[in-house]
Amino acid sequence: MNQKRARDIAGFVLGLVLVLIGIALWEKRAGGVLMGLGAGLMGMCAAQLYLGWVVSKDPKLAKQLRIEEQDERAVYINNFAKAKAFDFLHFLVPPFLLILSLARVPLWIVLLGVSVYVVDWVVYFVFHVKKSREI
Amino acid sequence: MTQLENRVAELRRERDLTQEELADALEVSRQTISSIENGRYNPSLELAFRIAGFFGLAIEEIFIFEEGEGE
Repeated sequence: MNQKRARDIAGFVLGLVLVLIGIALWEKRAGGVLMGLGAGLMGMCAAQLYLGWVVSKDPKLAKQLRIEEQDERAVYINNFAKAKAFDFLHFLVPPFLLILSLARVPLWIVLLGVSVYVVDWVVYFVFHVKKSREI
Repeated sequence: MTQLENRVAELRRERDLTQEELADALEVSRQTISSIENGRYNPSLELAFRIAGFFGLAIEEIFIFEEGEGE
């Protein structure tokens, strides 16, 4: 739990640094991007720190959250939904890439899409092989 | 056709427990207990052992595996 808290504090500080750099680079395009990223990171980490603080004051809530996070049926449902989303994505992406290529968008955009698609399959096969060896 | 039935609801009622109390003792959600009792979800072997341990019975006394005939 302390490791998570340290990570959230580090994230919050990093977010703050990004916001400050963003303010310093306000005139440039990167300034806005850095501010957005920093503010998002700060908000996410602040929310996690607040949640951690609330949970530390309430052991019953802590147990409830732990159960909700680790409950095997909830994990199963989540994994099932993710697997379906993966299947759906791989059904959706090839026609999308075809439309992109027919719409004569720059080649690098089509290749970027293809590479994302290929990387996704590579990640699938890597974990498939890894898990097959484990169990 | 095979079917896995269980006596979780029956055993829980015998001990005068609510689904919430059983879920709390087993550290799972109430919905998980409800789904197991209704046969919509088969627990992992680990949870099945925990359930059996909680009721002080053997797994096969709680979970009944019925194998049907043919395909």
